[in-house]
Amino acid sequence: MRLLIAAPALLLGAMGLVAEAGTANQGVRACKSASACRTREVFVPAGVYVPFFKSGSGIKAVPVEPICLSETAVTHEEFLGFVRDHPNWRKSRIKKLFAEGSYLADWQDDLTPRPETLSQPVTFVSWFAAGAYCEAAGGRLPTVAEWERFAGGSTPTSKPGTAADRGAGQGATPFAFAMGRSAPELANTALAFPGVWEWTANFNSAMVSGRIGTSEGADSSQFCGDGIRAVDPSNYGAFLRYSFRSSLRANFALKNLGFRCVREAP
Amino acid sequence: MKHFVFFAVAALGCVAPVQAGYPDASASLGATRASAGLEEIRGEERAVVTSAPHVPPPITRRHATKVLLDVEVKEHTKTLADGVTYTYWTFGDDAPGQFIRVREGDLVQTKFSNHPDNTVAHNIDFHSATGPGGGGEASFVAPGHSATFTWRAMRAGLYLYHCVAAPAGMHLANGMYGLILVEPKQGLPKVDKEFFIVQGEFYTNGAYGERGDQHFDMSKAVREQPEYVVFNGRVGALMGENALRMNVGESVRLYLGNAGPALMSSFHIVGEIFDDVYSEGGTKVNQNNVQTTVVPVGGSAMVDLVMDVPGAYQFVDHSMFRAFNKGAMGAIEVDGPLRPELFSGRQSEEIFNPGTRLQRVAAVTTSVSPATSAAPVPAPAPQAKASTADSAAVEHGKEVYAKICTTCHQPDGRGMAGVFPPLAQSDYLMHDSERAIRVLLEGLQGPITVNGQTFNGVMPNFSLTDKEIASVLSYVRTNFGNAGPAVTPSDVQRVRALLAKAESGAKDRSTASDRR
Repeated sequence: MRLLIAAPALLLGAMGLVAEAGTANQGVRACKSASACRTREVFVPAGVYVPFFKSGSGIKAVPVEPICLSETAVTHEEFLGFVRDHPNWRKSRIKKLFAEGSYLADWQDDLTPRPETLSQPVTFVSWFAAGAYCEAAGGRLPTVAEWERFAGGSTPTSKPGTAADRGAGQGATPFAFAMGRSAPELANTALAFPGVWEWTANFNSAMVSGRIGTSEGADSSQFCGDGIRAVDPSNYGAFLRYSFRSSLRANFALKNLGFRCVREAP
Repeated sequence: MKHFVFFAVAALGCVAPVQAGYPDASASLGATRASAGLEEIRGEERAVVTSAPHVPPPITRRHATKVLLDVEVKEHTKTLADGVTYTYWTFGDDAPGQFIRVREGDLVQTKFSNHPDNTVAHNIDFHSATGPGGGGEASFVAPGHSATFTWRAMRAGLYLYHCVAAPAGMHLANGMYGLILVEPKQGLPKVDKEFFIVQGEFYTNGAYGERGDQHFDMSKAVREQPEYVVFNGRVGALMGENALRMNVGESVRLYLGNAGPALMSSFHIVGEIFDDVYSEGGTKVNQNNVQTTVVPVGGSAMVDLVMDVPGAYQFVDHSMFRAFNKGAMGAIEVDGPLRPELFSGRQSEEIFNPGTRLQRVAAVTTSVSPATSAAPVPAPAPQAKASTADSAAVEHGKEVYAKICTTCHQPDGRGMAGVFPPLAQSDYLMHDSERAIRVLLEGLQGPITVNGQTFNGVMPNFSLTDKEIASVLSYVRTNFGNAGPAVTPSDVQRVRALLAKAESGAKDRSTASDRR
């Protein structure tokens, strides 16, 4: 199953589209225009993502297409608008398959978030609900590659202590520790990171080892084998991000997990 | 958009097998019991656990049972040292987590819970469990989730448990560790008292003692250079009123663990010898009469001892800079009758002067007084002032004292007879505040008389700031039965200036005498 999810990236690699940094745009659909993005969206140009964990053949760079990215995570108020229009995603009606019991746990009822949280990131939402929201908004959840590129805080290959690493690995909270603008071209944008984690479309693709009580081998990602497989074993922020993602299942609804959407740049 | 639909289908497919995947652990383990010839499990009971430094009582049960153990992870801000806080990740409320005691052969059903307020995924690896990850995979859960798994305590011994979620070193360095004793079927030799001590490291962004809220520093961790090396989770966890208390002649067992995650421990009690050592936490006594025992990172040791002579003792990681500069120190108070046939204490004290050159420190000290009268005095002498200590300065001084002075002068200021002079009701301290300032600025060496007792030791110069010196002197001069005027930073500044002047004069003189 994981292989299937990772297939788009593997396919690009197999087609000879693996790009070195600096020639990132080769083989990738060139971005048409930053002006295509809407207000409160940030344009993220095409680039390269180096997965944090090596694949069988070593370090492999993956080209990433241009996207329009929401400046902020989705708020309670925005999510309220979504469930008004889509009753099946209200907490009393959502199918159990799509969200565990803690779905929107901090809402008083189907249409009543706490007033003081309206402008804050919505949490206690499952991957299914987050994806449905983005689809209704004309977008989708970012992929791990996309999310890591804009929020990873550092490129996975950067050495600790270099300028590129600033912002990750030093914060007081795990969020500040693990997240920050990574791509230099986003430096002067209004891109904001809330004090929560965010869902990604393929959160369970990169590394997940057996959570069902059966071992999938000594390189299982959340344990000691990680260090050997990691492109940069000193990037503890990245370990925290990948470890957290690998603890998730798609129906989870957690207090410290929200989301934002992206649209493929037109 | 194509991708989105695809991912959704993929993830849907994952849900069913995951939920169906948890086997009924006790049933499946029970089925293997007969074939493996394991002891029969009779009944069930809740695990007996205790907070540091206490150890649950020996297990008197003669059969194996099913032990129900709940472990909850918390992420919370706690005190690491006086004036220093840190965001700990802990099993239960504290680092180390609670001491767990089970019997060889027991089946331990572990419910592992990650509090919903927590920010990262956690798990637990019992070194006492045999199976993949020691339970790491089986227990790995997101915040707001619990997982249950069961393991068999097959092998007796003292084991570490810890979080092994990535990055494992960071989870250990934030406090996620504890000890579990799998007691042999026949039990361990009976002792009068038992305690447990776990050594651990903290990699704070600020230097040792830097006040305020500190957080994990990745680059210090990767370089294996902790700011703190401590026993039982914080500086002073086993000092002062938290010292371990024993009586002369009592048999005592210490269960020692080392969470690291970087540094081996050389555990040593100053002035005591371990009678029996169970190296590396195994079940055999494999050495007698041991001065220092190694506690490996991710491992343990057990030592049995009997304190023969009463008094105040300290234990350290004998990598001594950790003890003096990073916090790896604890105390033992031993009560009982004096044993002069074993240890006399100081019997006499004489001047020893084979005619060596004068020590530099002494020269500077003696040169101060003339310089004082010759130099223009920028402020009135501190003794003349009747200022009362302000409470913030005294509070700050208390922290400085706890950090630097308690090692020798002891938390109660009584010092150590014949070795470290007392500050409590000390005529030497209270006679002259300017002299006290000089001692802190310059250190002190050579014989002095305090409350009629002669001491001949060395006190180093600790490079304190004016404010730290003023605060700590204000603290000691208004505590421990002392009542004197406060010392202000400007008093210290003035004496510092005088000393600088005196030193440059002394240097000129000594240069001149060298030429002669």
